[in-house]
Amino acid sequence: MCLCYVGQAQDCNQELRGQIIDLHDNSPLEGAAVRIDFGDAVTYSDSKGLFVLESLCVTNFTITITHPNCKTHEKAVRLPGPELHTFYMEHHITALNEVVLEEQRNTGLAKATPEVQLDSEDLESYSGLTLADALDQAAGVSVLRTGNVIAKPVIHGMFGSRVAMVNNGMRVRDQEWGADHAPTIDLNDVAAIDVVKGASALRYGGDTPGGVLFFKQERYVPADTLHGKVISGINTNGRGGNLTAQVTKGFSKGTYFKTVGTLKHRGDVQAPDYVLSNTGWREMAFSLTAGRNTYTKGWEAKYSFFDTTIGILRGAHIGNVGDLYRALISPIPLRIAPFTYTISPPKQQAENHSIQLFYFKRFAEKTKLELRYNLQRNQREEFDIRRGENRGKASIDMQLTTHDFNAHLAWKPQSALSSTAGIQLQLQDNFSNPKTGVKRLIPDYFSYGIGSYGSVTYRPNNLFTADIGMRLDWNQMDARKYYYKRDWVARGYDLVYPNFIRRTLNTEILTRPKFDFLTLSFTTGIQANFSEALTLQFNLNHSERPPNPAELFSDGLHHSLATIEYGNLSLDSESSNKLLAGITYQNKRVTLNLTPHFARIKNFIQLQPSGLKQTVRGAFPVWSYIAINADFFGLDVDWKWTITPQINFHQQHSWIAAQQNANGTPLINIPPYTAVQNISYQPKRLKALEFKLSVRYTATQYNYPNNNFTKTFLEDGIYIDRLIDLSTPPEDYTLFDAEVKFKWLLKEGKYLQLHLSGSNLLDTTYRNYLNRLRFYADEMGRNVQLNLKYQF
Amino acid sequence: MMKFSIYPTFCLIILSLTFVFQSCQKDDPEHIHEHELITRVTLEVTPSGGSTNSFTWNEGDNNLNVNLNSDTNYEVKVFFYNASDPSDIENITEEIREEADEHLVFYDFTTSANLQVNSSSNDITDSNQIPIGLTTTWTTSTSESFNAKLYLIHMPDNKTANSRSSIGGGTDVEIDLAITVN
Repeated sequence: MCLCYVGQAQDCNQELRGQIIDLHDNSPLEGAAVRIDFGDAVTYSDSKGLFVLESLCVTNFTITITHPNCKTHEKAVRLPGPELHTFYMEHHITALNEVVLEEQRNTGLAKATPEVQLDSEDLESYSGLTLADALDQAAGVSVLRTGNVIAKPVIHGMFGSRVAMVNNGMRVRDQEWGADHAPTIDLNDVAAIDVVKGASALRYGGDTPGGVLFFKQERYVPADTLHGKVISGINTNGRGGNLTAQVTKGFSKGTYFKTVGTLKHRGDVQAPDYVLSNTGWREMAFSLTAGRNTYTKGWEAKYSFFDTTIGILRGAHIGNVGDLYRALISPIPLRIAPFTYTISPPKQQAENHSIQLFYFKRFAEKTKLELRYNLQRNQREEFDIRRGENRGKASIDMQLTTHDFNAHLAWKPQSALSSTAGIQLQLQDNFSNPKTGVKRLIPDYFSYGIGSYGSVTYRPNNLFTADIGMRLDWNQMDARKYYYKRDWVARGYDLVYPNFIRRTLNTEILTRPKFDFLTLSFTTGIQANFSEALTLQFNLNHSERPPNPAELFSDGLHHSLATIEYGNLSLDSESSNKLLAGITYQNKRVTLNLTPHFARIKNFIQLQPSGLKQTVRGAFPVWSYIAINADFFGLDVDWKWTITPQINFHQQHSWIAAQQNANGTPLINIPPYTAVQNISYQPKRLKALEFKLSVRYTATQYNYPNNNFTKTFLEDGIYIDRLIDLSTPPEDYTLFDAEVKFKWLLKEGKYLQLHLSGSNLLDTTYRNYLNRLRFYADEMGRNVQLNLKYQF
Repeated sequence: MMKFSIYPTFCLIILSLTFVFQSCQKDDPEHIHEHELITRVTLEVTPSGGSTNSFTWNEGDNNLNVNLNSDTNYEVKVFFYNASDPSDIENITEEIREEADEHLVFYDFTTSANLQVNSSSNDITDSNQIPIGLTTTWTTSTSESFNAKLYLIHMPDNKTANSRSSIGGGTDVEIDLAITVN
C-alpha cells in the first residue's frame, strides 16, 4: 500500500504545458477549455493562450480542447514532449484556414514593420477610462492632452494628421487635425489595437509619418454561438461609473450579429490638493453589426454612434495675457468649486455617426476583392463663457461629413509573392454653423481625394520577407472663407491670391481658396529571422501630407493659451523620410525588442510665435503656421523577462528628440523620456489570481523651444515688466499603480472576473509637459477602480 | 463570377459620385456678424455744470487719450460698442447693465497720479448694491499727465478689491488710458 503510493506519486509529477493558437491569424486563443480523456479536470487557456495541466499520472493520453467560437479539437499527447506543446484550433471550414493564413500577408500592410499590440485584456482594464489612457500603455506611444479626458495619441513625437486611426478597416475622419480633439472611438467596441510605427500602411493613406493605430474588431467565425461580455465599474476619483455590454450571435452558415453599448459618467476629478472644477465627463456609445462570412464571399454592415460631453477646467478659461499671468503665478487654479457632476461652459461636445459597408469575394483560388464604403458624420461643439443672448450657445459648431470608398484587390501570382492594389475615393464636406455668432475657426470647405496604391511582398520562406509599396494621391481643397480686409492685406494675400476673392463686404471679403495637392508615398522593408531567437526588420518610408484645414485656415483666439492662431495659405505638402529598425531577440525567458527610428521632414508644419496683436483685451501673442525642416530621432525599448513561471517582469523605455535642422532649436511638445516597468505575479496554487505592480517614470523635458515673452503690467500703481513663461517644462515624476484580478471560472468557458486597480497610488502631485492645461492645475490624484466582468 | 462583384462596385461608385455632385451645389456661407465683439470704447466726461466731452478708442489704437482740467469734478461714463459694421453700431453697454452681477468696470491708476476716482450715486448697482463702475466721479487737482488702465471684468471674484489681481475674473476689455490734466 505504502509502496504503491510512493510509486504513484512519482508518476504523477508529469506536467503538460501548452499554448492554443488560433489558426485564423496565429493569435493566442483565450478561454479555451482543456480536458483529458479521463477524469473531469478542466483548465482554461489564459490571455496568451497558455495553459498548464499539472500532477498528471499518465504519459499517454488524449486531450480535448473546446472553445465557443471553434470546432472541438482532440489530440493525442505523449509525455515527456517539448517544453511547450502548441495546439491549433480549427474553424468550421477547414479550407478557410489556409486562405486566412495567406491573407495575413495580403492585407496591404507591409509586414516588415515594427508593431505593438494591445489585446482585449489590456483594453478591458481601461473600460471605464479614456481611449488615450489605454494607448499610453504601448511602448513608443504617448498622449497629448488638454485636461484629463481630451487626449490624442502621439507616435514617435507626431500626432493629429500625422497619425492615422483605422477603425474596422477605414480611416477615422473626426476632425483629427485639432490638438484638442479626442478620437471619437468607443474603446469597448474594439477587440485589439495594433500600433504600427511609420507610414507603411499605404492602403489607408500615405500621409502619416507618425504611424497608424488599427482598431480591430473580433473575428466572426461560422459557428452557432452566442457569446459576449458585460463590464461594469466604479471609480473613486470623479465618483464615476461605467457600464458596457456586448453580445455576438453567430450561425453555422456564417451569418452573425453583434451589438455593443457603453455608458460612462463621472464628475469633477480631484488633484491631490484640490478639486479640478468643471472636469466632468459623459460618454455614450452604441454599435450594431450584421454580416455574413463564407469561404467565397461575405459582407458586413455596421452602424456606430458615439457621443461625449467633456468639461474643460474652469480655471483655464481666461480673457487675456494678464489673466494668463495671474493663473501662471498662482500655485492653485484661480477657480476651485466644490465637487459636482454638472458640466458647465467651457465644455466640449462631440457626436459621431458612422455607417460602414463591406463586401468581399474570392475569385480563383488566390484572388480576393474587398469593397468598403464608410460614411462618417462628426459634429463638434465648443461652449465658452458668453454674455447676454449668446449665453449657452456654442462658440464653435462644426459638422464634418466624410464619404470614403475603397476597392482592394489581393492576389498571389506565385507561392512566394503576394500583391495588392487598390483605389480610394474620398469626399469631405465641412460645415461651420453661422448660428454661433462667432467667426468660424475652420471655414466651410469641400475636399476631394483620389488615391491608388499597390504593393508586392516576397516571402520565399518563413525566415525572410521583403516588401515594397507605392501610393499616389490627388487631393483638392475647396474652401469658402471670410477674411477681414486688413488681415488679407497684412498677410500679403492680396498680391498672391487676388483670384480667390468672390465678394467684398464692408470690412470683410469672401474668398474661395482652392488648392490641389499631388502626393507620392512609398515604403519598403525587409524582415529576416536569423534564428528562432533573432529577428531583424528594416523599414524605409517616404510620406507626403497635404496641409490640413487648421494649418491652412485657422483664424482665432485660443482661450486656454491666450494666443491668436493664424493659418497660412502658402503652405506646401509636408514630405517625410523615415527609417525604422526592429531588433527582436527571444529565448525561453527573455524577449527584447529595440526600435530605433529616424525621420527627416521637409516642410514640417508647426505653430510658431510671430508677433503681437493689439486687441480690446490688450496685446496678444500671435502664433502662425509655418513650414520648417526638422529631424526626429529616437529609440523604443521593450523587454519582458519571465523570472519564474509565476513572476513576469516587463519594462519599456521611450526616448525621442526633435529639432529644426536649420538652427537646432528643439520642437515643442516632444514627449520626454519615459520608463515604465511592471511586475506581475500569479500564485502557482491559485492561477485565477493575478497581481501587478507598475512604476512609471517621466523625465523632465530639457529640450524645448523658448517661446517666453515679456509684458508690462500695472501692479499696485507701478508699471512693471513680467516674464510670461509658457515654455519651461514641469519637473520629472514617478507614479505607482497596482492591480489585482480574480477570475471565477464557470461552465463552458464562461467566467466572472473582479478587477481592482489603483493609479497614482501615492497621490503624487505632478504636472505633465504634454498636457496643454499644465499651466493651470496639477494632474489627477489617486484613482481606485473596481471593475466586474462577466464573460459568456 | 466577375459580373456579380462588379455590380456592387459600380453601385458604390455611382453612390459616391451622386454625393459629390449633390454637395457641390452648396451656396456661399452666410456672413457672421459677431455681436459680442467690443471694438470701440467711449468715455463721456462731464464737468459739474459744464458740457460733455467724449474721448474714443477704436480697435487698433494704442491708447485712449483723455484731456481734463485741473481742480474739477467730473462725472465719467463709459460706453462699449461693437462698431465692426459701421452701418450697424451696437451698444454693448446695455448688456453689461442687464448683467450687472457679472460685470465690473475698474480703473487702475499709477500711484503717482493725484486724480481721485470715486463711485457715483448715478452708477448702476448689482444685486448686492455694489456699483459696477459704468459711471464714476473723477476729481482732478494739479496739472499732471500719466497712464492708467481701464478694465471690463467678467465674473469677478471680488468686486470691492482695489487691484486687478485681487478682483480676479476674466478680462473682457483692457485699454491703456493716457490722461492729461491741464
